[in-house]
Amino acid sequence: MTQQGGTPGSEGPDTGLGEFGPEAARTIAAEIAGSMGTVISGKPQAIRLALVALLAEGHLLIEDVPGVGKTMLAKSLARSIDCSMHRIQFTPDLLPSDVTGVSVFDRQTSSFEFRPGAVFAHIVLGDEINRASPKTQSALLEAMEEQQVTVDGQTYQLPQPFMVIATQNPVEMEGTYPLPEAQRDRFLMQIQLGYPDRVAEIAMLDSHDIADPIAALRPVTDAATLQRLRDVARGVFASPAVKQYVVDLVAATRRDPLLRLGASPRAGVHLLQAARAHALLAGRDHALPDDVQALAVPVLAHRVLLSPEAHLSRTPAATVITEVVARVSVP
Amino acid sequence: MSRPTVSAEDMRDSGVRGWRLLRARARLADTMVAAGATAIAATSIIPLFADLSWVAPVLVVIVVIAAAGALGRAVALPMPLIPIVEALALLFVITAMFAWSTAWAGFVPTTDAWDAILALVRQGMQDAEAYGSPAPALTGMVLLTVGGVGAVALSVDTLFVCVRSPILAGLPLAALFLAPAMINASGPPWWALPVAGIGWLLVLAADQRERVQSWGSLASEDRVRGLSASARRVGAVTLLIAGVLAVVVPAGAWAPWRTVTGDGPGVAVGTADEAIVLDPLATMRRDLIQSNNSEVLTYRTSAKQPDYLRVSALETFDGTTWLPRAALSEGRYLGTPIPSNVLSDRIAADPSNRVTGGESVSYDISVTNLQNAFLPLPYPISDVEDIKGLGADWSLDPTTGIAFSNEVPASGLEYRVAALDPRIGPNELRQAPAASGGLWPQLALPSGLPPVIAQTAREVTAQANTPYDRAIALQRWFTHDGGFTYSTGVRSGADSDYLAEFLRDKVGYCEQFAGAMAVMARSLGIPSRVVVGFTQGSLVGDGEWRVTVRDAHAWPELWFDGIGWVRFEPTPRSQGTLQTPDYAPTADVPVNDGPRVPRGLDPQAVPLAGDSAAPTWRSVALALLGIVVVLAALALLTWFAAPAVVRRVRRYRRLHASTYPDIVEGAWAEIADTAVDHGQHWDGTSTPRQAAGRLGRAMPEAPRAALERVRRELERVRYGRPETVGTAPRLGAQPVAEHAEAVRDDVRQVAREFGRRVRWQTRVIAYCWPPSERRRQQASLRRPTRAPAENTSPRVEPLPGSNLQI
Repeated sequence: MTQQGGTPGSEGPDTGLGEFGPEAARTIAAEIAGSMGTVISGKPQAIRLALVALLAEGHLLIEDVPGVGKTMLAKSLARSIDCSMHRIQFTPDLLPSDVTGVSVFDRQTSSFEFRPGAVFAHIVLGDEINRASPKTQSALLEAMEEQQVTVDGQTYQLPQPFMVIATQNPVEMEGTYPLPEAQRDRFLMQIQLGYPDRVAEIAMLDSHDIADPIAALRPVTDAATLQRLRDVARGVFASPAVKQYVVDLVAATRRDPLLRLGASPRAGVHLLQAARAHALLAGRDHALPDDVQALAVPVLAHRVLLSPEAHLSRTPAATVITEVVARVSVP
Repeated sequence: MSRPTVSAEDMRDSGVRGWRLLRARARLADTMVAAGATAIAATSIIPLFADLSWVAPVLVVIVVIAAAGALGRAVALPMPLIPIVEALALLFVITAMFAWSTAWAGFVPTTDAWDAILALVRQGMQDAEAYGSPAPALTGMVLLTVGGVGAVALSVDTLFVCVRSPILAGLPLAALFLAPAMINASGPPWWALPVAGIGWLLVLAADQRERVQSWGSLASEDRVRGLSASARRVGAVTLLIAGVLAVVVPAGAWAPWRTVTGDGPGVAVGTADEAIVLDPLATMRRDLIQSNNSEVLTYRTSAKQPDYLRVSALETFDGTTWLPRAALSEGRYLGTPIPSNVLSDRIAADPSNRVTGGESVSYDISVTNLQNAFLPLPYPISDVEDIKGLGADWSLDPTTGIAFSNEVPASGLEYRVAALDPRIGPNELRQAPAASGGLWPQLALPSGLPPVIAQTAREVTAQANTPYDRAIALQRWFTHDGGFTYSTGVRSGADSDYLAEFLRDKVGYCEQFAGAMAVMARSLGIPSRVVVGFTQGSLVGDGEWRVTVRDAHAWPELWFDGIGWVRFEPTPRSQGTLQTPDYAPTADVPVNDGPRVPRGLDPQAVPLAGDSAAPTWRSVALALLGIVVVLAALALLTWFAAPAVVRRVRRYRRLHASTYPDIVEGAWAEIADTAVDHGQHWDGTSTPRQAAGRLGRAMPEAPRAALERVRRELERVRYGRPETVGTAPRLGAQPVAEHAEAVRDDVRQVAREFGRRVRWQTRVIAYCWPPSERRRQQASLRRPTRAPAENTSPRVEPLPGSNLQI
């Protein structure tokens, strides 16, 4: 087994995916996507990427203008997988303890009691994360990376599965603290929702007429199943050729003259993880270069720094990554 | 060929352009090397001409062909067109040089110009036939030379620069070196081989340097330089050894085409300088060998068709060889000194003068180089006048018409003789009675003569009633009916036993033909003698004739009562200047040019006569032309066929690989190449899924399904779990062999579909000259730039398809 993190469920000789065959995983994923799709109209690609991030044990950064459904996406996801969900509205005066929790003195027991912060949930929606101060931002980011919270020397494990969906307004808007690149690197992928098309927007108006669509959602799976699915995703086979392709792509971003900073080695790890999850969603037990290509822009674009030339020519990072993909040979 | 430094920014935009520029420069350098090598090899022509006026046209042709090739490559003509362009350039430049006045715009051949060139070619062939080396640089021969060198330059350029085969390029260079060596009887000058070698080494060096540089970063500039230096040393030493060997090793050991020299039986006493002659045959043979096939004499005559020039008449056959009957005393001829004023009287006493009638024609003879102490003279002489330096040293044997000296060689003499142009016809000869009266020394035969000779003579002449008819029958038998083959590939000599052997084997040259006919005539009662001399030579101007040692010849003279000595010509005519007398027609077919044994095959071969088989300009020019044509055809065939053949081999190896995954990978690569061959876009940066999707979009259901099957198998094999690959789940539990066959079937189906969708021209090109193979070839020829350091240098985009798996 060359892939990382072999799991108990990956011992089957035929697929290596244990009780969940790739088809079963695909079915479950399709159910989740269908459930979310009743709320988020016309955004199957965004839903799919959100699921990839979920299965790849990564966190999702959604960058878009207000009101396009970022919160709805997070809520519908949490609801569909029957998980707890907390929402933190980041504001400039938000304190780190508001995120992680705080120890308060209980007079009756004469001891400090830990009151968990908003981060203690399966799905955490960090709304407009770039409006908070860097110190608060980093409190969340530490929790994301370590899957735990340390308050007053005491370490508290976060519930599993744990996923942060952070939204941020485009950095040009007022009153924002752009995420440093080191912190952006911790998000598995960044996606845009964009405005829905005309038909989807009308459908959205219809559904909001009736009632709260989120309330109508019924869970299609549970946290335990999801955790097993994540294990299965980790067991998806990535051949040496695919790994080589990932490394080639990442290395190519480092040589691209339009990029001041290329993708980090962690970006490569994330890209492969995401490709595995993507393959699982397609019902395959092995990753293909197609999976890598499909995820290159969402996984890599937010991690790289554009060179002044790219800024001047207003070339977005996504375009640069697309060009890199078009240039690197598929092994 | 220094590589320019390309800045990082430049290379991203102009990577491909810069690469093309580098290639163009390398190509230009290679073109110059090819031209230089041809020019160097062409130096071996120098000994063939007496002057150097041919050099300029030859250089012009080499330069023009190189320029045409360079131009063609500069405008990126397809490779196969470049030799055609060069051939056109050759035609134009030849027209401009040799037929400009009748050409359109001075260089485009019109019908008239074409006729003029063809006439020049014919003239050149004739001249080539007539001249030995060194020859004057006559226009026709220069045209042949220019054409030949042009063909070689074209071949070298095509083989080296276009086909990139420096080894093959050595062949035309070798042909250019060999041709003069074959013409020149004494072999090439000692420096020819090393010089020709330098040309080829240049070609090899240019090629190797390019190869070494293509190692890229492995070969640093210093190491390349070091390799070049050692290669130069090796080359220099090899050339030195070649030069030394050429001088030291006996000629025959390394130049099989050369005549192996050596004194035959019956060698003359003394050397040419002493001019004391016992055996003119042997002396002449030695002359032939020593005088390098050069001019012997020139003469001007009023005769329309001059007769042979006699040097010596041999009337005694002792069973071993033919000897002069003239009185010998202590190894010297005895004769009468020729005082110029009394010569006519003496000649009048010659019994040979009984030849009837005939007008007197004059010969102004100028002997260039003849170390014999005999004067070449026509026959019969009526007068000798204007003899410069021909004094008391010279004597005339009145019975044979031979003038000789005991002191000085004939070289450098100029004299005028008057000779009778004999007007004898067959009727007169036929009426001549058999020899009568007295004891004819010219009828004497040695005692041990094999009876087969006389018997054969009787059989051959059984139908003939008169001496003349018998003579004609003999001549016809030798030249036409008897099945004789002319060849100098036999040992020299005309002794009794050897003559019998000659009649049995029917292979020989003039010495045997003349000796055999003379002996047979004697056996029939016709007095005969063998005469040694020269044919009339070749006409080189108005009434000007030139005789070379290659015109040396021996023939019989037969006696007819009341007429005199009459020449016959029993030697089958070959390419020489032999001439059958009017009164002795040979046959309806005048020329009997039987197959000749190449002289080089027999070390005994001795070039003796005008009918000698020494290779002439013409035969070598033809051989050279043949070699070049065959080479060019081979090169073109290789150039055209190679990609197709390689493609087939590659396909077979791909589809019949040893393991199933290799077969699937091969099948995919095969589909990729087939797509490229049929003009489809194939991109190395596409995933198999994308490529299959794009190609399959326009396909009907069946081939698209086949394509998808191969694609799925490829993904499974290349990206799938290794433990599932061997089980071939697509067709269940079928064995791998059937499975592989299914894959091959799919590939064939897809390939058929590709072929179905394109025009027939594309199909033909895909079959005969597959673009995928060409692209691969070009990619492998391309000089890789050194691997750039990570993060500091930008990458150069790979050529599309260059990562195709094989």
